[in-house]
Amino acid sequence: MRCELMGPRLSAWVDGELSGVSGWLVRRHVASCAVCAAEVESLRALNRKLSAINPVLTPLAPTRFVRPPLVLGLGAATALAGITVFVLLPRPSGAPQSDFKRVALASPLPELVRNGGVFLSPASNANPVSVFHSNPSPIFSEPAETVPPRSVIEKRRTRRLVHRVRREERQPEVVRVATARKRVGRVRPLSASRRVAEPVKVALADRSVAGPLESRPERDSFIPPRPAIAPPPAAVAMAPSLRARRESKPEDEAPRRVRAVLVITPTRYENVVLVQPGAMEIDEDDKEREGEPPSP
Amino acid sequence: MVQHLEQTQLTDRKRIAFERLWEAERERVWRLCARLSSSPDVADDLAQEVSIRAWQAWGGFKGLASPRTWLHRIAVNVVLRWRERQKPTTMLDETLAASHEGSPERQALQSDEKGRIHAALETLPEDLRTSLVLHAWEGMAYREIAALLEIPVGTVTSRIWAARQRLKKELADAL
Repeated sequence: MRCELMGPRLSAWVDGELSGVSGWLVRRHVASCAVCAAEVESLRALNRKLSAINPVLTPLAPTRFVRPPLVLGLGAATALAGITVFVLLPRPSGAPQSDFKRVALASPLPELVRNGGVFLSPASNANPVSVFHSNPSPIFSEPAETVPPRSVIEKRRTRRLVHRVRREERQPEVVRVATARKRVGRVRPLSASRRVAEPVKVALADRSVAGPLESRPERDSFIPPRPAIAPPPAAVAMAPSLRARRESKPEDEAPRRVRAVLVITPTRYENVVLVQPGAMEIDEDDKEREGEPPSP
Repeated sequence: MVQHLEQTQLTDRKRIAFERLWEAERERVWRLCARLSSSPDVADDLAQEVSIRAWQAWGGFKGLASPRTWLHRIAVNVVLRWRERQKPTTMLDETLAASHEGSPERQALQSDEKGRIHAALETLPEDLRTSLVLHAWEGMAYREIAALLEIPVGTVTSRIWAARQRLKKELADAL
């Protein structure tokens, strides 16, 4: 990484705002570049200056508890007597020294008297609103790693997985189901020209054979019953060829099978139509399987 | 009648929620006003204005951000508007100060490091100064500042970096 691109990254890294790949890249660069290491040092010095002049702003109650004079004097006397007795009591041999006793012995007695027996640590005098949270990474105490940290590798792997799942989702669902089950023939490839010009027809299954739709009565119950179509009046003349075909048909012939055809566009299927077997376009593979019973 | 009662209860609940929010955030808002305006004297007035504006807008708060961020955003807006109003006065002060460049008070102020840093901070543009102060003195993370100022995190990063560069240059020139 070039030094002229590092400016804002160095600033963010000194503030502890970079992690993962970005933080690792900056750490590796700073460990190998003297100019950027000096820049990091100057940024830290500036941070120290800024936090040192952090103005004391205390709009509300004082942070130190102040007692009234009379109570202060009584409290001081009581505390002094109590501490003296407590500290000077003989300690049983082998008993550990308590924290309070250690503090009382370590702290100067006049300070305790002045504060009315309340030990105020030096930290209580510090600026109560000094909230500069700089979290610099220890670059000079540890050598820079030559490989990315473990979290970096995991993050990259996760990103690739997400991308693959998204690519799979682009395929239309019906085509994917038909391809997976291999119920009939093959699904025609969706070429770029046919996606726009002509929808793809996929023959799914014979309705007369027990299919998945017929095994779900609750789904069929939602389909409204078809209105009964009135038979054509006798006066309507039938085409001669059709009449000849009907009359030549033997009576014991099995009822015709009805096939469902899904018309699929690249994004969704638009319609389901019931057609006669003769009227349907069948691929070469389908013609070969015409005599075979359909696979369940 | 029932609707009126429900509305009254809703108003009461809103008022109680706002009072709790204000009690929790009052000190931080005051400090934010004091730091962004660089004068604790006017921070009381600014915090008061923030509370009034926040209460007026509390009914329209949709909860898209956290209430704290929303309140601080109002505080930042109030302080920026106040600084806009103060600009002509500040410019006059600066010209007066520039005419008394070599005065003993000025030299004494410049000799103090704290005064030099404050003076250098005052020379920064408003956007750079706000981002740097929010981070360095209020302890906000970059993400919080981005939510507060409604800018991307990358912009916060570059602003803080630019503010530091200019601050370093100003301090080097002052020495």
